[in-house]
Amino acid sequence: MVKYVLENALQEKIEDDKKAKSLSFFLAERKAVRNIMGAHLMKMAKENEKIVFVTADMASMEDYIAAGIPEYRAINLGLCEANTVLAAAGLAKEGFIPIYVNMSWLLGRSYNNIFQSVGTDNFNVKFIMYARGWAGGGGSHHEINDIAFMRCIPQILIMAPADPVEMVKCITAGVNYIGAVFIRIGGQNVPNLFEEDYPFKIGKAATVREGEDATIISFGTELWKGLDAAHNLSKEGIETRVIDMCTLKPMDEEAIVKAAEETGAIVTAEDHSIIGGLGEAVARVVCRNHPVPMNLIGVRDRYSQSTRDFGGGWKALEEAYNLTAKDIADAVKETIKRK
Amino acid sequence: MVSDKVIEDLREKALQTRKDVLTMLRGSGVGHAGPSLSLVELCVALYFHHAKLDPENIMWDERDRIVLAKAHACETIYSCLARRGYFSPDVFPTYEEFGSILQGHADMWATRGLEYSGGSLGQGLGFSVGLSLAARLKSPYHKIRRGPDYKYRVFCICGDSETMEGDVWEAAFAASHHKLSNLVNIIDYNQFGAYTSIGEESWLEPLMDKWRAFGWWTTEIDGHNLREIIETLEKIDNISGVPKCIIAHTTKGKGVPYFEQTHLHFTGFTEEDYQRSMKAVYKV
Repeated sequence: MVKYVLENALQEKIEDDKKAKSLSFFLAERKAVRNIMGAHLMKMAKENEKIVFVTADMASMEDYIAAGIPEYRAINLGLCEANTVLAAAGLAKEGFIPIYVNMSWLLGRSYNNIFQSVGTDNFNVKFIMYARGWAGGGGSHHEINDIAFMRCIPQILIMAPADPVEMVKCITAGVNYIGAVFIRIGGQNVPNLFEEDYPFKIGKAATVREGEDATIISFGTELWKGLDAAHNLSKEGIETRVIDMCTLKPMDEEAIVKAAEETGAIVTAEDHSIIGGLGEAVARVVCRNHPVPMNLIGVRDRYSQSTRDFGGGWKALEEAYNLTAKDIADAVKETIKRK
Repeated sequence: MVSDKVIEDLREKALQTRKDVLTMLRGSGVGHAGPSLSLVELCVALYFHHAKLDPENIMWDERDRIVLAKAHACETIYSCLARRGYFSPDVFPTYEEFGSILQGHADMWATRGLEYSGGSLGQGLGFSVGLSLAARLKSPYHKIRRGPDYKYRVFCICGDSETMEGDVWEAAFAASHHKLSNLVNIIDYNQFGAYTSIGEESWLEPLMDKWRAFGWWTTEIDGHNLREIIETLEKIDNISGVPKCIIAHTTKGKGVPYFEQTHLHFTGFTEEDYQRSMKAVYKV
């Protein structure tokens, strides 16, 4: 299932990081994720006439036309995020599948509209939000609260893929699913983690590394930090299980309980606030079913800031906000002590 | 030209609607009396005369969509739907009861025949833009460029204070840019918000100029004059290429004299209030 031998993957990523010192590389890297996402969406739209793109001044109409999408199925509603979500709800009611693609941090602007006009009626609207995480632009552009406010919308499906293979599978599953879907896509490019035949299933977590001493649960690009930490810990004789919690709602509670029972210590890692994020969601399952020591890695009730450390894994920010592989590894050791 | 008989018949229906609203208020003991009574004639004109509807087949694709953006005034819509045959008027006393099909704010999954679940003001017009874009997409592609073959119209009923919401103006931008000529926004201009007199303090004026500046074909009418409402609705069917806005001047609590004087918005409603207002309610 997992494509790369872990060390190779990490080595490749380190090589990438070495290359990634210039702004142009940073932009090319960002574009790679977007291009894969865009190409896949266009492919799906060509096969399904019900798919309609709604955009708030975030895509060029030429791109849609070049991809063979009739211009009336790509609707630009102007720089009006709130109204774009409402128009999407109206289109969904009439049987279309509106796909709203935008930058992650703009989701909060239309929150009440999502809650009231999409969530209440569970309209078939797809929110595909990219460039999340430590993208450029400073604190205003670093979305660290989207999972918290989207999780509490009843019945919504939330997914956060860790690599391009999983992203494509998430988009396919999400668009074919009937109901509101939020897909959170990282801005950071990572090598493929999964084989093409990886059997992705909504609501099912993937165990990407086996281990018996502790478990790291993560998702998205932060999963790579978790793998990195597990790799370093194994050198010290600590074997850590790593779980990719791609579907954040509904969560794979079975995998969490199993991890608690078998490893007895859980650390969650997320590029999101620890308030209302994955950590609290996992803790809810753990304390109800099989209480074990836990530790939460994430942004600790702070706003973000800008960095010029483009492409280098956003090291300065990750160090400042305690999100590095070393922080995760330290948390694992500390948690094991409390077993 | 609408015959006097039709108008007289609709006036009777408006009186019946007002009585139904009072019955619902009596059932729940509270409710949005003022805003419900101000849009009675607008709703009666749409539901009983102008809109294409089929209570037997609520999923009929060519039906006109009526979106109640000011979803707190749902009592009036409930009465119109029931009297039009969507469900039985027997449920009126259950209004706002736990598990009732008549929720406190319009909910399309609870009430048969509703097009929109509202409550958060300002969102209905944006939703209507989506419905009207969908009508365009359902038109044959070769016709879209020259003027789409719209199979249905979308009527959005907005409150006057509601137009202060930013979302309304975002929707106004989009509707005129996309030339949604099947979209009609009807503003129930009853001069009062929940607590603020927006008429006296001139929050909204010049309202007509604002809508015109956003590229909407706009007119002002008396929102209690059924003949004027129907003639305006018929006239605007022939205007193409622009969305249309009707500013309907109304009175909050119209039809019950002591409501009219107090500009009542949300109110408690006792059995005594019911007896008193049922005696006082008059044919507008």
